[in-house]
Amino acid sequence: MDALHQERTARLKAAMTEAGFDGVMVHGNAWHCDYLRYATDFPPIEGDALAIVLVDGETEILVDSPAEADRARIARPDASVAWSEDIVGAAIRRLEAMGNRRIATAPATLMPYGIARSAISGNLADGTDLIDRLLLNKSPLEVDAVRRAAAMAARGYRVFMEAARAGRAEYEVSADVEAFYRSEGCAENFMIMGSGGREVRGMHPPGERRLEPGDLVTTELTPCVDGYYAQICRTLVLGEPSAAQLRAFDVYIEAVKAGYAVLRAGVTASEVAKAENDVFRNHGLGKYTTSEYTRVRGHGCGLFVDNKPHILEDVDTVLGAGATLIVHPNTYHPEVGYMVVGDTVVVTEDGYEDFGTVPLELLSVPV
Amino acid sequence: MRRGLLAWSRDEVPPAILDARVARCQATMAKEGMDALILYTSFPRPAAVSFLTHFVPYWNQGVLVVLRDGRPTLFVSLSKRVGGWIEETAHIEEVICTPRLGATIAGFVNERHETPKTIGVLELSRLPGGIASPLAEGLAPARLTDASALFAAFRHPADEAELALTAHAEAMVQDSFAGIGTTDTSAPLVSALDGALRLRGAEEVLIAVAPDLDRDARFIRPEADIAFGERAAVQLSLAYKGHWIRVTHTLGRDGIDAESHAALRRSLDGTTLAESLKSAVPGARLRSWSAEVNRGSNPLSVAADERNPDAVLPGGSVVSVTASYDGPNGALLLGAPFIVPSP
Repeated sequence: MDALHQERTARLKAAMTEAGFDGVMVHGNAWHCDYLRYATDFPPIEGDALAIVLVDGETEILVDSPAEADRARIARPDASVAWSEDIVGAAIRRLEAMGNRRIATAPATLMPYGIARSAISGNLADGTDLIDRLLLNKSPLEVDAVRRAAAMAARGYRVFMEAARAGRAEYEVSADVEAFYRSEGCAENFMIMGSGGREVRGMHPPGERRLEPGDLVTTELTPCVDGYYAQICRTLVLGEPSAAQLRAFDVYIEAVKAGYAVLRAGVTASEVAKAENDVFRNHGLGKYTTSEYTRVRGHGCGLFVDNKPHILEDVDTVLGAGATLIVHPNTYHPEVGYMVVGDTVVVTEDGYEDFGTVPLELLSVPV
Repeated sequence: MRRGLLAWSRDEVPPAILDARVARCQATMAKEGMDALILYTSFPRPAAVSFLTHFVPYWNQGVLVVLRDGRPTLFVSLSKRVGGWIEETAHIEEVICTPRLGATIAGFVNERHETPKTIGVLELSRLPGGIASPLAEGLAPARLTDASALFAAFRHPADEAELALTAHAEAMVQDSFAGIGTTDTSAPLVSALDGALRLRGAEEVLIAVAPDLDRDARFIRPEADIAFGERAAVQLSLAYKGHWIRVTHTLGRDGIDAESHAALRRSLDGTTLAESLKSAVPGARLRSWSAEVNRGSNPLSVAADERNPDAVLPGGSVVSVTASYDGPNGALLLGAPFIVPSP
C-alpha cells in the first residue's frame, strides 16, 4: 500500500468511525472513479465496479470482467476481488451476508438502482457527503500529487502549442498530446478543444476541422498523476493576435486574477465565482457569465476531473486549506469568440499557491 | 477519459443502417408489447446507444428513449452549448439537454404515450439511482422492466457497416504495429501505438501490457515506463466509429510474434471456438480464453470462456477472442476479432 492510499484509508476509517458506519460501499468507473479510488486505490478502465470497504480495512472489489478482476488483484493484492456480469446482484448478496451492519453508499447519483430497490436497502445510508468532505480538502501528500499533475498539464500544453499548426485537424493535434502523455507514463487525460473565430461558442472533443491562420485555438488538458487530475486552460492564436483578441483576453486575465485574489481558507465557491463574474459585468459582458454561455467558473480538481465544488455564484461550499481547484472564467466573447484561461491552484490558510507555469497571456504560434 | 476523433462519417455508418437498427429494435419492442425502451449511455458504457444512433459521449451521461415508432430522442446531462455537436454526430429525432434526466424523460414518455404500461430499460439494475428513482416515480403506475434480453435479441447479426468497421479497425491496428520498432520498455511502445491509432482516426485506444510473461501473464495499464522482460504482451482495445475490437500480441526482443498470431487468426474461422483454440498454435497448450461480444452498454462483455465453453455466440456477431497459451518458450497471449458464422 503506498503512502497516499495508506493516508486515505486512515482518513476514511476515522470518518466512518465518527459517523457510526461499519463500512462503505462505493461505485466507480472510468468516467467517475473518485469515490472508488479514494476508498480502494483501484481505478477501473472498463465497465463498472463496486467495492465494500469495512472499517477494519477488509475490502471486497466487484468488477464486471475478468480482465478488470486481474487488474484489481494486482492493484490490491490484499483485497478480495470477484467478477460477475451482474455485479449489482453480487453486491446485494454480499451485503445480505453481512447482516445488520450499517453501510454508507456513495455516490448517491451513480449508485445502481438495483441496490436502492433491494431488500437490503434499509441497512444502507447515503455516505456521499461523508466522502465528499474527504475529497474536498486534501492532505499535503494529495496536494503534491495534484501539483505534479499540474506540471504534467503544463508540459502537455507545450506539446499542444507545437502541434497546433495551420492545416492540421483538431484530432491530429490531440493525437500528439495523447502520445506525449503516454510517453510520460500518464495513462489518463481529459481533453476538449475548440478552433475558429466568432462562431465558436465552446469546446468539444477533437473533431475533423483543420486549423486556419487567425484561429483562436482553445483547449483544456487534464492529465492524471497517481490518480489525481489537474487542469490547464489556455487560448492561443495561429499567427499574430489581433487588437480585438488581445483586448478581449485582457478581460479574462483580469477575471482569473480576481478569482485568485479572493482565495483563502474559508472563502466560498460563490465568492470566487462572483469575483470573476464582476469583472465581466464591469466590462458590460455580464450576460456571458450565465449558463447560456458558460458552464462553470471553475471546479475542484482531484481524484475526478470535475470534482465538487463547481465555482458558481449559487454554490456556497466553503473551501478549506488543501482544496485544489481550477479557476477558469471560460466563456464566449461577442467580438472574438470563445476564450479560456486558468490554472490549478491549492487554497492555503491565507491565500493560495498557483501551480501554473505557462504564461497567463493570450499565446500565439507562428503560421 | 481521452476520446480521440468523434465524428460521424455518413459513408461508413450510413443513416439508413442506423434506421434499420432502430427498426429492428422497434419490431422487437412491438413483439414484446413494450411501449418504450430506455437505454443508458456514459463514457464507459456507450455501446448500446452508439449502436442505434452513432452518438458517443465524451463526458457525462445520457439516456436514449426509443418509442414504438419514429427516431429515438436523446437526453443528455451536457450543456446546451454542445447540442449542435451532438446533432452533428448522432442520428436522432432531437437532443434534450437537462440536468434532471429521470424526471424529464418520464415527462416526455407520458406526453408521447397516453397510458404507457411497459417501459423497458436496458440493464435496469445498473441504471444510476440519480436517474432511475425519479424516472420510476414519474412513470408510475407504469412499471420499469429489464430489457437486456430484448436488446440482445435484436443486436445481432452484424450488419454490413459493422463488418466493414471491424475490418477497418483491425487494419488500423496492423498498420500501427507495422510502423513500430522494438522497445525495451512500455512507454515508447504505448506512446507510438496510441499516437498512430489516433492519427488514423481512432475514437478510443486502451492499451494494456503484460510486461514480463515469465513473471506474470496478466495485463496492467502502464502508469509508468515499465521494463519489458524477454517476452511481453500488449493488448489494444480500439474504438472506431462506436465499434470496439481487441487485438493481443506477444512481443519478443525482436518484435511481435506474428507467426503465432497468424496461427490463431486462421483458427478463428472454425465454428467450435473452444476446440479450434486448443489446436490453434502448434506446440502450445491452451490455458485460458475468452470471447467477448457487444450485447449491452459495455462495449465488450465476456460471452464464453474456458469456464463456460459451450455458451452459444450470436450468429453473425463480431467477437473479440483473447487466448493464453503455454508455449515452448513460455506464456503466449494472443487475440483478434472474428465473425461468428451465421447458422
